[in-house]
Amino acid sequence: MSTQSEAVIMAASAQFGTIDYSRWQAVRWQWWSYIRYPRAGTTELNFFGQVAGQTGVTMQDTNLPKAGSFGQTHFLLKTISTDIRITNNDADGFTNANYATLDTQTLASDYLNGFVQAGLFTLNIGARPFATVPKPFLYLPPPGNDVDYENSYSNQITAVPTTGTTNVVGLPFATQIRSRKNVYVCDPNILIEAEQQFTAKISFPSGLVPVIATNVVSTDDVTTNPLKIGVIFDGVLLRPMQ
Amino acid sequence: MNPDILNSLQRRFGSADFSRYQIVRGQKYDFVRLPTVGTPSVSFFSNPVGASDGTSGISKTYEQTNLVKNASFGQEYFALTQIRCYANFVPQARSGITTGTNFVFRGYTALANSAMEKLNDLLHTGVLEISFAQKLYYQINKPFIMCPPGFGIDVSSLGSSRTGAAQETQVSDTNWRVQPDWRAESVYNIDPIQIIEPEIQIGAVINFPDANTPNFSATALTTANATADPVVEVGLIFDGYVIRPSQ
Repeated sequence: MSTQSEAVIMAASAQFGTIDYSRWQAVRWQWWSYIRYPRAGTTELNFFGQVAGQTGVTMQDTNLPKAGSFGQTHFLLKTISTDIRITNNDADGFTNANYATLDTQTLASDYLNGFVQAGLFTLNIGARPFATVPKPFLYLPPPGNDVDYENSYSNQITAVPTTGTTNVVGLPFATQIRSRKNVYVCDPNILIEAEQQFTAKISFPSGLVPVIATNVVSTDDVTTNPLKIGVIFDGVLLRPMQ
Repeated sequence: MNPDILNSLQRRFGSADFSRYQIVRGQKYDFVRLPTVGTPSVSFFSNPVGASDGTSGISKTYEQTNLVKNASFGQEYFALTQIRCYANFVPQARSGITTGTNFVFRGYTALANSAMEKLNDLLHTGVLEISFAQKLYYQINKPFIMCPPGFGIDVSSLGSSRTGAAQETQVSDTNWRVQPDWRAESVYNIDPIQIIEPEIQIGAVINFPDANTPNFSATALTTANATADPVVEVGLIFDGYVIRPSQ
């Protein structure tokens, strides 16, 4: 004898439920997850494994409702991005005395010749790979568009550069490419169903890549300047109507 | 065994559904280290993950290639839509060079044979040839120019500096860095797209017929004018669609 439980639940949901599962709403949405990149480097960083509210995890770090899944909503993944942020991107103190190490003040060396030039991004949904991308900080640049930088080269120590005089000209400053046109598009899009488990990670199987700007990046999360890297999924959130 | 029986078994007990295919954007890539003293050609997709890099002897990981089989993409179809070529220095931590916290590939134009000058030479030379099943499909001159990677770093300023050495008669902007075009719109698009069937033999090589690649040994490297042997890797990336059976 078959049970009537499913029909009963549907009838009860239709009459008394708070959600209408027969109609769905689509909203553009981003999910993000930032975690600390250790100064000594690491073999693997797993994203979307924490939720906001955990110790040391704020909404700036992640907006995920549930570790490892998007909870009770579907998500149509359209673009994948990485991002790098540091609390104090200090470019002050450009003097004659420190010119030899100044580029580390802004992580420029790390962008040009550090972990930013390495790594492997993998996205598995269930146990199946859906993305395997080398050099993710380059291949999967951040979303949005950059702020507008101008450099006046105003920190010249001597008024007129002459042979044999130590001087510095300009601040070292480098970032990831931030342009809407460069964002990595998942074409065709990837639908991640509700409660579907997924893993997103950046690994360094060829060896650790320590931070070069060690005088800027703090050793842990609680001091002033942790280096955090993030993965951002942009797409369409699909949720039942209320 | 009769093919019909195989089909029947596969439908009932198989781990993949070959009647339905899934399409996912994907890349097939291979990064190879250049010999420091130069080379007349660089081959790609010949050493799978786990094999040794032909130059360095270091075991290749998924950071260098996702090739799982020598010279073939295995049991997947791949629809090739873009060709991207990459060349740059490997990260400091992997180059075997210790220069302290400050690591700048010197590009002062006054310094002969600087690291950036040599990299610039590399980017403006070469002929890329790609063949499938021994048949030539693509022959592209100056591949790093014609087929740039479409990704890179946004450098607002390199922070020129000088140490006072006599050869560095410096004015503003003399410190420079070179990278292939980072704009996604600049990549080499394949139109019509090229389907690469499973197990097809792939040959991909960049030849340098005029002269070997630059000799990077004893290159001016740091702000202290120290020289070193920077390690350069070149890469070939096929961007497109992985076409695989549903599960």
